[in-house]
Amino acid sequence: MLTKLGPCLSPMWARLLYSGKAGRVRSWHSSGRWLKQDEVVANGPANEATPPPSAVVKSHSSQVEKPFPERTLVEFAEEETSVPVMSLKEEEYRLKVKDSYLVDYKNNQGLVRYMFKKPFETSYLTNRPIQNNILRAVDQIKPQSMQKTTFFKEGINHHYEYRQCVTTTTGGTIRLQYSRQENIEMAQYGVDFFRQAGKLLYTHHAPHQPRVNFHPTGLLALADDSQAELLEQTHGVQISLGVRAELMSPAQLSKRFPYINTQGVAVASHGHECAGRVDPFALLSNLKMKCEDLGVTFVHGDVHNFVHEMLNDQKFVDEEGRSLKTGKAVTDRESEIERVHNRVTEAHIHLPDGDVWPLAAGRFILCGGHQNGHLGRLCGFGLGKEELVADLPVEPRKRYYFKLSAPQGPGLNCPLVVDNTGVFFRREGYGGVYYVSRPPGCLENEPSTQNLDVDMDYFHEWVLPPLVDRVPAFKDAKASGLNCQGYICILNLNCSFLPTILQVMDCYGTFEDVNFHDENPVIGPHPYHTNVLLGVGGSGMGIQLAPAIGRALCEYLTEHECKTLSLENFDFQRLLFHKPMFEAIHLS
Amino acid sequence: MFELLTLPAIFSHPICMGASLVGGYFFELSEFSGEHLWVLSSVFTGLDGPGFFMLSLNKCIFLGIIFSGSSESRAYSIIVFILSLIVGGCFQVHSVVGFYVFFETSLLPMMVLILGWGYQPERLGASKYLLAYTVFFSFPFLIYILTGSVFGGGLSFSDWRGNASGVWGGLLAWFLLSGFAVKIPVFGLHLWLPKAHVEASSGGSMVLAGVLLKLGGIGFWRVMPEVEGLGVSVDLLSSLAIWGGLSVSIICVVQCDLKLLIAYSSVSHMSLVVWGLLSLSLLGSQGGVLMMAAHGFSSSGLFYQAGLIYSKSGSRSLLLNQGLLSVIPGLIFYWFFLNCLSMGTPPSSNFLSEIEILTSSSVLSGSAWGAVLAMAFFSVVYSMVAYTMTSQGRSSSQGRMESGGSSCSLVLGFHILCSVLLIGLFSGVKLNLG
Repeated sequence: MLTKLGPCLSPMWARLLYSGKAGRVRSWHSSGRWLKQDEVVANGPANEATPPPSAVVKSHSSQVEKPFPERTLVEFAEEETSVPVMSLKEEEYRLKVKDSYLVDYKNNQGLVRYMFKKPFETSYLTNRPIQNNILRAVDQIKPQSMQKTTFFKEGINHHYEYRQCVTTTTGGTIRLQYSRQENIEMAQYGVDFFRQAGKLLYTHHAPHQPRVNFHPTGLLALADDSQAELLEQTHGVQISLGVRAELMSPAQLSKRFPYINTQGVAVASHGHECAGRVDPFALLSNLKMKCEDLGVTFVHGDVHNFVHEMLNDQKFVDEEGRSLKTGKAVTDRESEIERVHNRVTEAHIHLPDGDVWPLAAGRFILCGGHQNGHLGRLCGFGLGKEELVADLPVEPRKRYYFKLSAPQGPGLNCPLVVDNTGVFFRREGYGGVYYVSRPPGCLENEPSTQNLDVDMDYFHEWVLPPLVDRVPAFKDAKASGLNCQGYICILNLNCSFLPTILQVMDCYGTFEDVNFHDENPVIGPHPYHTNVLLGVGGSGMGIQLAPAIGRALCEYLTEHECKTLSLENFDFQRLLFHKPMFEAIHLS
Repeated sequence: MFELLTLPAIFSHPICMGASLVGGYFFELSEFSGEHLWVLSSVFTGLDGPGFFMLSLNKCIFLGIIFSGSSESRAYSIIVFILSLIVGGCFQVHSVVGFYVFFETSLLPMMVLILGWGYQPERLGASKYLLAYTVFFSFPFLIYILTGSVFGGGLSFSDWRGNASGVWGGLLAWFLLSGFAVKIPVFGLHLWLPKAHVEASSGGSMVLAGVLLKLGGIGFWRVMPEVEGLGVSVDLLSSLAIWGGLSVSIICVVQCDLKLLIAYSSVSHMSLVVWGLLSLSLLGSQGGVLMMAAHGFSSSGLFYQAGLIYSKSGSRSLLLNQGLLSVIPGLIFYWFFLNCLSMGTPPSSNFLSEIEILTSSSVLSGSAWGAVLAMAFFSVVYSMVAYTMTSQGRSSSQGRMESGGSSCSLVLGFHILCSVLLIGLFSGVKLNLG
């Protein structure tokens, strides 16, 4: 583990750190892949794009960060490629997805396909279509007292308790202390929504008034010398938008929060209002009940494929670069329009009984959490040439949350504290229990996303030392018992550099949907896949911004533009034109 | 090969159009006191005045469907062709039993079209509604036919000249009219129509609105002499039709689904047809029959256009289909004229028929005249709503889309042309208000 941390501690890697992460800014190359930072610097000429503000680096290193290297402006090369358009990506795509799912549905329309098909039941894409259909027909004539046939598909685990969902496993942090005006405005709307959730989510059928358990405990952000200027700048933006926050000196900080070790702290920002925590699972369940009450139909299943026109042979071109449908050259504007306007027509949903249900719709909204990148590829993002090469830069990143018991801890006077090193903790309840976490800090320190196993070495080597350094009271944190919920938890009882044996009450891992382009959400319609709306890449801010993003998507649906908030900067085009929207203050 | 089967339809089309000229004169000369003139081509087949109109309408609509459904499978073309034969037979048969047989038989291909080529799982329920309503309410008509000897009625429409009499006059009148009241449909018995239209494919909606609803109108026309003979007043049914049509036209204004809007507008227009036919006046009957023909073309074209819009955007919602004027301007050109036809813009036959019905209603009943006037107003409102909400506004699409090719323009232009020119001209020739 130390070897993994080594590069992050090295000054050489410090320049790659940005808002707690390794150089996440990537560029599109016409070959259709995201370039790493070094390649960007090496390949492209200097551009005129303004570099991002100097990073709020939450790392061990207290050295002054070098200015972020200039990035190249993406130039979609017009070089002639001998490889036919879309052949490589299409081949890779087809290798991943079984060919049996890529049937051309146009030729299968008609009586046989749709005859007497009931919703949620039949499809021709089952593994055993004849047998399953016979069994289903028998089920329909069986009396109610007889048990119905159940269909299982091997390998599919249907966790409809939202165990691996980003929403339910996230910390549920609410704050207004952002650096971007758009983020602040969206967060303000979110807070208003949570405050009125009891009224907005009320249904006559619910046994009790809906509650999202919004606890406004406040947020305290600490900054060292290198981060102080940025914190003051962001504070000015927040104050101008009506955020109630104040800057504090170390002396003031020590007076108000005596348990905090102010060594190394240059300035602190304390948000009094509209900062705290909301219960994400309560929010999700109440929202779902309200949606069902309003007539929404929820289909429980796994989306395993989309049918879109990019799979249509008519979109392909021949070896000479002419469209197979029109015969015109691809560079011709008319054929470009025809090729570019891809439309998703169906979503194929794997139902619990093993069946696949094709769901046709006119509009699709992608908000699938950490799997949005995969969903985007299924929609056909990235299958194409030039502008169509870009896919969604959203991927799952594993984060850990640890639950500590510290009776001698900060107590009730404990807001959500975000240290300059990146570690943050908050109070849970009133019994001296605290949740703590810390983002990895660099790409090489990112945990594997193969599973949700919790690595306790990460806690002992990466999370605990700066935590104890900042709040010495956590040094004596004890556990009330081994009560680890969640997944496999490896306890390391032999931490040589800590004088006290520490046990963790609880710990769990979660996947976070991270937009590794600029760690801000992508909101709005896709410019070329015209009927797909995006609400992706929460990057740890999803819960906070969800109400505003939902409203924005509704406005995009009905009025084709965002009326209440100006969220045009969050659209997909910024990924193509390389205009990243960085958020300076991140918690993960 | 199957396209060759459409040749008889194509060749018979000009014959039917020419025949409608002749039929128009017969139509004018016929009396409306219980005698309808038939031109019999054989013992069992023949045509009366409205039959000529409806037959030519049948041919035109099915031609349009064949042209529009070129991308569908062969089974679709076969079923459409069979349906055209059945409906054509329904118009041409002189025997009452034959008429009932064809009337019921037309249900089967229609159900197959809905079940086989509909988009959504709800089509199962829609086909059940269609089947249940049609069979249940037309069953009394079968009973009346089978017991014809008891009540004194014959087995051909020529024999149905008011010979029936009985104590149960109202019940017998209901037996005669119920099946056709469902088919038209009259308000209160119209629940199957919005479901069937929404769930059917584009071609299915075209044939349903363009032809099958007219079966009910033709049935009304042909059994009215028998109903008159019973001495029963049909004011209740006509009042239900006219005031229900007004409420349905108001419902149209608040619809968000394009196909639902056009379906309810069909109910509204056909309620005018019922009012015209049941008015037992020359002007009203002329207006009713002309409205049937005009509505057949305009509604069929509207459904085809709605299907095109659905194929472009994947949605029938008026909220999501906005700004199409900049996206598919070629199709919106026809969409504008079709909506003008629906709202009764001169010099279309829709306008002429509305004037005739309005004039007849002013003579018969003042309140009904107000209702018809209000229906004419609301037809303008919902037609304008349908056009402006789809064409104006901001589109989600970034640029123009493919407008659908020459076949779409051919079909749409054909519908508009027929409705505006042909029947309008013929009506102008034969209309005799003096």
